[in-house]
Amino acid sequence: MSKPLLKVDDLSLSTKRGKEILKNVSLDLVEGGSLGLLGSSGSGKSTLALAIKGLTRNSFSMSGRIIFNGTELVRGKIKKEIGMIFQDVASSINPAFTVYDQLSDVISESKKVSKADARALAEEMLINFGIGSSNGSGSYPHQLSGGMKQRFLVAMGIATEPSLLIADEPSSSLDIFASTDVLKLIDEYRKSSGCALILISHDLSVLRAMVSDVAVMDEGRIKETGSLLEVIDHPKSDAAKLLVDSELTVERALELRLSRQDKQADKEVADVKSK
Amino acid sequence: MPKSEKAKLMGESQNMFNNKIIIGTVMILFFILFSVFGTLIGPSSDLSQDYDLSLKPPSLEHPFGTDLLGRDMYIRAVQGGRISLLVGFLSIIVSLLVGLPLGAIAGYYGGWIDTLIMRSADIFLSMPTILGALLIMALIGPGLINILIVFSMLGWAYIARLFRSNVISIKNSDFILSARGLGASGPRIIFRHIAPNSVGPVLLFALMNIGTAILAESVLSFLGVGLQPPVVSWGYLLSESVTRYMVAPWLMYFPGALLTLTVIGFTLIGEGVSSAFDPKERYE
Repeated sequence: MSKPLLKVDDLSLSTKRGKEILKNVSLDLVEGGSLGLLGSSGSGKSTLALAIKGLTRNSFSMSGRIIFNGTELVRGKIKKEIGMIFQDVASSINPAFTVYDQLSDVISESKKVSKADARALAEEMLINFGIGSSNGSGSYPHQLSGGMKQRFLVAMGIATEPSLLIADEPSSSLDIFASTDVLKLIDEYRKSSGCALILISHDLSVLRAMVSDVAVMDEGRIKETGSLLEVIDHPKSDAAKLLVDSELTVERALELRLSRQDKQADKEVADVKSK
Repeated sequence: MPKSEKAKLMGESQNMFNNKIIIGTVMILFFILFSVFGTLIGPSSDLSQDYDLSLKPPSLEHPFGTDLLGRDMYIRAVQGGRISLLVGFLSIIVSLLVGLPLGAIAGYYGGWIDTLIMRSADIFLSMPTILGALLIMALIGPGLINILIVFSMLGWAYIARLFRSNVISIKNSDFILSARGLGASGPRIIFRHIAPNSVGPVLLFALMNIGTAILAESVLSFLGVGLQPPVVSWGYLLSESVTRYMVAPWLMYFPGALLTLTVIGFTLIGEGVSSAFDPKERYE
């Protein structure tokens, strides 16, 4: 049986004014495991991810515990073993330095290697990730495409070789091709390193491809947990039912299209009759 | 990887120095050289009084003409330049040295330390520069050192306030959160992540303010609470010329032109530096 890696135990977070953002959240993740955090916007997924990473705002009051690798995490004390890919591509990269500089900085800090070695590793990594000059693009963040920026964020997230990677909607702002590229990079890293993954998304197709278990969140609470297939096939909570129902599957798309065509046909018949 | 592509990946082959910086720097360097070595290259280095030469217009022997006491105005302009530039540079350097760290600490850490620093700054910001300078000069007396003290006292608060607001707008960006997530310390986040993204407008303000400080010193000297004879500045020379500009306009033209061109030079450098700090403008 796999060793437990992360345990969130009855975690609650509230703002200074008493607004509850997370309410009695508990979840478990084993080494090498994968968990999808599913929920609509504002349900508390990203806040939970930040809390696990230790980046909760100091002004928030917090109760409960987060245990990582057998050690209780202290707010503000950053565990480099937890990597994070942030949601907002546009504001997640320092605009003043080249991506090359930023990545080599992270590598030299985390791996304690010389600057020259870090630069060589960063260069290799960027080329492997398809970022750099070979496609004619420059290397300041504003010179990269959305897909390249997101791939760079993946590179930053895994540069510290984390044993838990949290990806906050890594493909939500990308087209289908760029999105597949990014998910593939995350998957390849997981396969080669055996790291655990928490993937935040409200896209069931992305979760289907990447995770085995899922926790459904709504209004700061975890409403339902279980294997992904179990939750999709037999959702128990209202939140899960709503999310599953709202998924645009091929069948659903066809249904919508047919109903539109029906309405159009009805309208045409009505027009003929009126004439 | 080809060398040129590698250089591009590292962001190296780009032009840091735009035309504004080059023109502004050439102008300022010229005026610095003029102020430092002007007496060596001028036709005369004699500043003695000669009433026979009183109020002579510009000539080959006296390129900037002479004043009422028959003193060579070129030599006086050179000496005035030394003081004007010294006041401009020193007052802004001290303001930056005090204002930047205080603004960064106030903006990044917030809380009581922010309140303490900003309320102290408010005391100085509540006074209009010239009126504040007049008030303090009236209390501590005229003179070069006192002018420098007054300008630094009044200048740091503007720098601190501007830098603080820039730091606050940047510190909640995801890339700062990401840097914190990678374990970067507070000072490292300030120097490596916040400062490069927020110091540009402050430097622009500071560089433009060198010209303003030179002008403010001129105003104080003009009002008689600034420099005291025999120390002269361009502003002081201008104030002297006021009563005689109908009969000897060159007394106003030369110090005025030097003052104006110097202020333009600093403004050009300021605008150029601001562009240079903005990668979007630099590497379009």
